[in-house]
Amino acid sequence: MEASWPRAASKSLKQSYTKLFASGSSLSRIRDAALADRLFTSPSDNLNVCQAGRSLAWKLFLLPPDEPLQPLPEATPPIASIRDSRKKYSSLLLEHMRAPDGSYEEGFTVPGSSSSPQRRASASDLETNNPLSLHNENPWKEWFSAVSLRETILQDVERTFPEISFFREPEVQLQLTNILFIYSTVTNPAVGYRQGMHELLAPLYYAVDYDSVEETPAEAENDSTLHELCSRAWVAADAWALFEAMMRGASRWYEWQEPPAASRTNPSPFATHVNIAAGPVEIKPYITPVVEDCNRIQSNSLRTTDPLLWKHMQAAGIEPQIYGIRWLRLLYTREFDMPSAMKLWDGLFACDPTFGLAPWICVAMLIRIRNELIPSDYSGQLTSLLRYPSYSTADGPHHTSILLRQALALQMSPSQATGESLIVENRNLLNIPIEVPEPPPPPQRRGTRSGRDKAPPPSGTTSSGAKTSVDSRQQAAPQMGLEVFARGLLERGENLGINKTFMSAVPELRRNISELALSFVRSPTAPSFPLLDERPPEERPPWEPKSRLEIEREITSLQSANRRLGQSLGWAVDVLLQDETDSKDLPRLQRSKREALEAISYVRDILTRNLTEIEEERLFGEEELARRKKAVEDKLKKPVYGPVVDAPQPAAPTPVPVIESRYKVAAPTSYSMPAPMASSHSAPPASTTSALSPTSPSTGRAPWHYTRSNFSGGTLPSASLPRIPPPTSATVRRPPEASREARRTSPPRRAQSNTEHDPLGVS
Amino acid sequence: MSKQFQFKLVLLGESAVGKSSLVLRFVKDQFDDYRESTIGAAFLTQTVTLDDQTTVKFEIWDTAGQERYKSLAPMYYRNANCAVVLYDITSSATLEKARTWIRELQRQADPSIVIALCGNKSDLAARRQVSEEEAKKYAEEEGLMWAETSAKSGEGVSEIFTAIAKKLPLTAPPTSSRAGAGRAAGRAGVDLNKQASAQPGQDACNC
Repeated sequence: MEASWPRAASKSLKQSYTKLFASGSSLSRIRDAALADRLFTSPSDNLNVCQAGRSLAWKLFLLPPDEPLQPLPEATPPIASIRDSRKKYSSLLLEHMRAPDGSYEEGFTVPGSSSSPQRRASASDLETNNPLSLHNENPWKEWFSAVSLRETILQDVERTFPEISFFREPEVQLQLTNILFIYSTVTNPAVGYRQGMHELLAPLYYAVDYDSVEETPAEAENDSTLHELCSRAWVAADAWALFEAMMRGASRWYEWQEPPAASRTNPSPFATHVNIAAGPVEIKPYITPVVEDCNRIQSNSLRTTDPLLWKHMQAAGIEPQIYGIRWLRLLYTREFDMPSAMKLWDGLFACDPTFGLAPWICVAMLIRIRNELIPSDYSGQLTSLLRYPSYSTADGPHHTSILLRQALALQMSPSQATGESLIVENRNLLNIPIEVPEPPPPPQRRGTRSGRDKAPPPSGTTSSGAKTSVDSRQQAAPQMGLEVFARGLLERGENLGINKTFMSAVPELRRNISELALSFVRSPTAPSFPLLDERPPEERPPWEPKSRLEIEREITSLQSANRRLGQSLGWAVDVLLQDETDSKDLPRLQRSKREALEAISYVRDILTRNLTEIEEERLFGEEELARRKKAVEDKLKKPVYGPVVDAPQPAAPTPVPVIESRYKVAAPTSYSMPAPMASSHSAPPASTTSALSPTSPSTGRAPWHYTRSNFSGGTLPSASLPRIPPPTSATVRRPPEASREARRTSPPRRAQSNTEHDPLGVS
Repeated sequence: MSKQFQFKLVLLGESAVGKSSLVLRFVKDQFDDYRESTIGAAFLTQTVTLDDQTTVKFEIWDTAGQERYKSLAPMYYRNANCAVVLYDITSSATLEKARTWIRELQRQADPSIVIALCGNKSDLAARRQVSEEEAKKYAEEEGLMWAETSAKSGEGVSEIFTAIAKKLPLTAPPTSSRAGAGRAAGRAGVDLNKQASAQPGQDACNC
């Protein structure tokens, strides 16, 4: 069969094979490469949909490995499992494509060969085994239903990816139909064939076929494994194996079957009350998993990570199934073009073949188009959701890699802070402004909806205009730096065993904070979300992680404290190293040594008890202290200990004469002083903290402060109270929607037709 | 002064009878030989101008044909003002399917819903399995609008949508009040009673 469609060049195929299986890379390294879109060495050109070697990577990610017990194995080609599945597919096909009289349809060939199978006449009772028999056990009945199932499947297969000519080939269509038929009758008869499965299979088949090689004996000797893995004779069987593996994770989104008729109680007069009180978990006999997942995406995940967007979607009455079903069932093949979707699949298969990440990708996708969604009305939101806008990054990471990384970040820490970091990242990498555009003012409702290319509405002040220009200028530099940075982190993360995405998020944020702070100083209007989480810690509910600013602050103060302790130890060591024998002033040295020992024990106390208040005087001996103070004064009070200066520093100048005098007048007491203090430190921690007057920010975060936050509830909208409105309703009002109010109060007929007054009128 | 109305229209029918193609012809006046299967639903809008300068804007929900297990379709036909139920004139099985859709609409949808039965692919009359008489008779019995269309040639497409627009209650407030109320409840309900009544409808999509 000579193909009229592109196939992988054997050179680049071999390159990919070497990179995957012959370079000694560990599986996790390959996975990271897939996530960061570094899997294929050759640059992707737009002429070819697929990349050479992609099917190899997919086989590696999806199929069971040959040596599953080996920990952290080097990636090995799953050759045994390929052989296995080929055999299995072949026998399944032979079994299920055979008509009850033992014949096969014309043109049917045994997989792996080009010959037709032998007709095996089955000796059976003609009474039942006969196409016209009305007998209940007539095998022809089953056969006819199988034929009609194949017709149904073909109906969808025929129109798979209409723009890709590969899928118009009758041979390809036949193979796709067979694979789907085997899957839906043998593997998963409970779900059967459902529209959309064909579109999951098609890219798999395409990738396998793209990499397939003709088995010629001469070449096969050199790279026997590569040739066996990519054997053209087994394209269909390999695509089937990949599809089976994929559906293990994806089939839940196709489930539709109701459980056997549950006893439905008659609705009592109180039924509705109960329903309302119980919120979304009211008596429902069966919710398909896909609907469940969709609801979770919008009302849990999105609500936690981007409450503002959630509020607007909820207010518009968007049901998550409307977009979620297609996104999940097809795994984004309609939202992105084929090359991008395949890239996305690379990462998806690499990190989790059960697709636990998929819903988080949906959340990241929603956050990416929040500027389209938030200002739009119902119809505008639908349009954005069902015709997902396309994005491109000129250089830097591919937009699907960004999406994957963001989804991982959301999955790792589903919090508003992560959601906000996504918005910042989208600004930096995709040039999506942070500020949500205002909804178009009522008189301009004829204009287009808030398209991406649309200029910001005139309502903005001059400063916002200036800011956008600054944004675009600033954009280039961080983009480059970030990518390099993120890649380095990804590589290192493997060894550290820490989630890479999480790690990369923190430094990225640090880079952005100063920039962000600047932009807020410039913008007079409040931002649409609290980017700098400046709620005092006691107002923050206990389940929320600390804001990044707080963490940064803590780290900085910790670092400066460490530096001070280190200086103290350094001084003590210096003192202790001095030889007493050749000292001119022995008592002074002995005193110093005693001071040094006291300082060391104080440092020990600080470190073991995790004290946050450090008394400067106790870190050094008196002479040293005086010397240091002088040095500080000489430096014109330039901060020595880093940007965060704790309380003791300002108080420093005053004690000098006091200590001086105390030393002269009552030297012994000055030495005995530290001892009782030290003993007070060894007292129970509660008394210690109170004695030390905890004013530092970290001690303010004591657990008892959390009690209040449950009720102050700064973050939680009132909708979280027991009476949760149904998802369709809009309890959260949007101010500009006066006409909606009018619609409710005026006779509905008139209100409905009165579209002239619809401020967000759809066009 | 011209008046403007907005209605929700839902397209139902067996897989591959040409629902998406019909909408594409109506909205963009285009036709593709291969149109990818609809997954979930598609949403489009198109405005029709009637003789008296009244404009009717259709919010069209183009549903997936295979959602035959009634798990999702109610979400789309709930609060719909009109429905176009499509069958393929070259396949009598699709008319059967259309009948079940119509029964379901009559039972579950808004009582004032305007239903049109459409025989698509009239350009393939040579392979006809459903006669005009049969479909017409059924439509009359059920009080439905009926037409044959061809998304490929465009025959009868804008006509059926215009006819629906004319049939929709553009002037009489009493009949339309129900539709309007249902719509408000489904979209942006605030009234608690309406929410409560909308709730069961919403449940219906899951059972």
